[in-house]
Amino acid sequence: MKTITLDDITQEDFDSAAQTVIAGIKAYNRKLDTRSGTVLRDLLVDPEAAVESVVSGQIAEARKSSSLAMLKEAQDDGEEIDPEDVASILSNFNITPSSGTKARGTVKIVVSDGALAYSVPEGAVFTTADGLSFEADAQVVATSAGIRNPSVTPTTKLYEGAAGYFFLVPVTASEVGEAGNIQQGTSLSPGSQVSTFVMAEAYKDFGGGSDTQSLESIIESIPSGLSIRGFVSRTASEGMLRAEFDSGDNPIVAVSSVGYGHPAQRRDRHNVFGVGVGGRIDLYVRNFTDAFTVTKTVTGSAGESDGTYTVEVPTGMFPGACWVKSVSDPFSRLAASSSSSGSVGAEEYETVLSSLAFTAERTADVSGTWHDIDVSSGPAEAFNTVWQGFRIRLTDVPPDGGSAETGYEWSSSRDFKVTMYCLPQAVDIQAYVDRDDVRSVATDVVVRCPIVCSVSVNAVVHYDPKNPIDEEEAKTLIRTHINGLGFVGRLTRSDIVQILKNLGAVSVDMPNQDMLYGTLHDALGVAHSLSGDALDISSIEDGPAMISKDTVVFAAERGGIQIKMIPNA
Amino acid sequence: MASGAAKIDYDGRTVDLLMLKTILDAPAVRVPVDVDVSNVSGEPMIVTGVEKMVQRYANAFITALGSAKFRDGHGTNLVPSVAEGLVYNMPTLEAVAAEANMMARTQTKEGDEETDEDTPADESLEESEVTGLSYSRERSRVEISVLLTTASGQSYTYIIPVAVGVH
Repeated sequence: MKTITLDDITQEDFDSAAQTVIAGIKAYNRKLDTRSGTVLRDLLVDPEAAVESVVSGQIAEARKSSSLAMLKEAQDDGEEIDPEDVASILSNFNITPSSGTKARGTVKIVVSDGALAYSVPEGAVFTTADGLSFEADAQVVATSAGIRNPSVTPTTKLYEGAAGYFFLVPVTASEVGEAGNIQQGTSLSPGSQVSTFVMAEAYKDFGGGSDTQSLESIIESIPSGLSIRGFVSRTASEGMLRAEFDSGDNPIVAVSSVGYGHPAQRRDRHNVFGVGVGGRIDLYVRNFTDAFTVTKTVTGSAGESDGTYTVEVPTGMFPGACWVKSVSDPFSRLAASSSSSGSVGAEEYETVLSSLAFTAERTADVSGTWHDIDVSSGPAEAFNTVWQGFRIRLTDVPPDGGSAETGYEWSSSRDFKVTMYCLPQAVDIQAYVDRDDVRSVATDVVVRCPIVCSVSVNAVVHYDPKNPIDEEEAKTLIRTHINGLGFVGRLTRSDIVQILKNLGAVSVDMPNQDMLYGTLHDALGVAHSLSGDALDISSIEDGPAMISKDTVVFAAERGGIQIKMIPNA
Repeated sequence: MASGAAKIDYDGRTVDLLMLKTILDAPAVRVPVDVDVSNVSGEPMIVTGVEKMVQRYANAFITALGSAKFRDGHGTNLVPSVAEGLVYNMPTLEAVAAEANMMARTQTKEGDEETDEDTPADESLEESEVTGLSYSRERSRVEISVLLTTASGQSYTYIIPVAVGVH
């Protein structure tokens, strides 16, 4: 809480306090003259008014600091709010506000000499032109594969790229905040000298950075904070998860409880009559804003046809996975070079990180759990849980051996990099709801990643040339809006238009049905597409496939927001 | 130092603490203040009537303008000008005193209008005029004589001593 001094007091406050003091003096003895210029005014009224106004100001500050609504009002008026005041109020409700998280990513450092060993110490700083700084997570030592130096133990490879050589340094933002989620290709400057340095940039989009929880969000979270602790109601379930996870790296954005009587609740019909009996709860947790992905190397087996592979992703490898984002072959340099005429450069190396053609189906292994999940007729009941796996079938995989002259060859088994949309901390959340001291004795709670409806936006924005619109800001605001939504069930054109108009757009055109486009995969693995003026989940609602407004969230990635800016003539 | 004080009926008047005893003539009525002032040296007095008006004028006249927080308009430039050495001859002092008189008069009249009760005519300032300046080298001070006239027509000459630090 701010300490009020005389410097914080306005003339109006002082005059008001003086009138209060004068009224008190007059009530005591109306013969005392307190007009300006009198000794009583100078020696009695004014000093007392000064003290009175400071005390009144401090009382007002104390009242404000004990009310979230008043703090919000003050913040809207441009005042800076003390986070400790907010935390103090919330502690009454057993709620801890999220203090935000730091963005993480990988810096690509390009150097000109491939024969040297390069070392970046832990804590080395890299800075963007905007002043955002990132620090190396650990010491990185990079050498070319062919270099042998007994005095150097490399921790990573020095790759050959188009503009020289490059190596990768994992970094974390110095400060918490979503601003640290910089885009792939963002230029970075090293804080200390790197030999033969050419340039540094964000290797991929950075992620994981989140701002300190806003007052609006805190106020919204209070009902769940006040609810009875137990999986007995939607607010109570959310409250329990928030109390446990909001102060961590992945604070809760929204929670949806699918329980007794819900069309998407399949597990409580495990009886001969096939009717719901209650006691089963599926918790869909959104604890990510930008879609959260995990990449791992998985070995695939060659299929009967050339260029086909099957990749079995076992249960536990991607806990809480939602769907496959991409599959790539990180070692297909031979394939890359054989399909292009020049030498293998950085761009080609990175090109192979884009996805191979694939189809995926869900699998499940529930042998190790007591939860009531019936997979005898298919893995749908385990979908998006920690017990789910995937079977990925790849086609048109480039060869990894041979040549055009001798004939191409495909190894019987190859490693592929599989990237999945996942629920962060899925194992932790499931373990928490399963704890003996947390779970209700009458309920069976399963945690699921929401079905992610991947959204793309295509808009033509007309603006006044005298009032130009920052295209990047517009894209960021739209993405932030979409990725901050809970289980709303509907995303409309007007939502997007309103954001653009708030930025100063004169008009926004919807040139075709691609204005809004969304894709998702249901529990049965079937893909669905939505497009048009609104993405309405109710239009594809399907209980057995577990599609409902309570199971789906919208998410947009950077590349998914396309805006064409046209100045008005 | 004051001269020309008239007899005043103190009944029904508001009172102020006495700040400048020089305002009072020897025969003027002095009333002890009815509060505990055991730690105050001397006997605090209250003042009313024309002396109270003179005291308000004198208070404004000798208060340094802007020296009181939230009372930016209270006071004059007389004392700051003297303290900063800007008054280096009698014509300068004359000009500074004339300006201070004007400001003190304005503030005293504004104070007359603050009360929600009618101010007695002999407590309201009608006119003020600097009537004389005298300089005493031995005592390093000047004395400014001001003729104050009340709304009831009474006149009151008040002599304000100001140390000037001249050696």
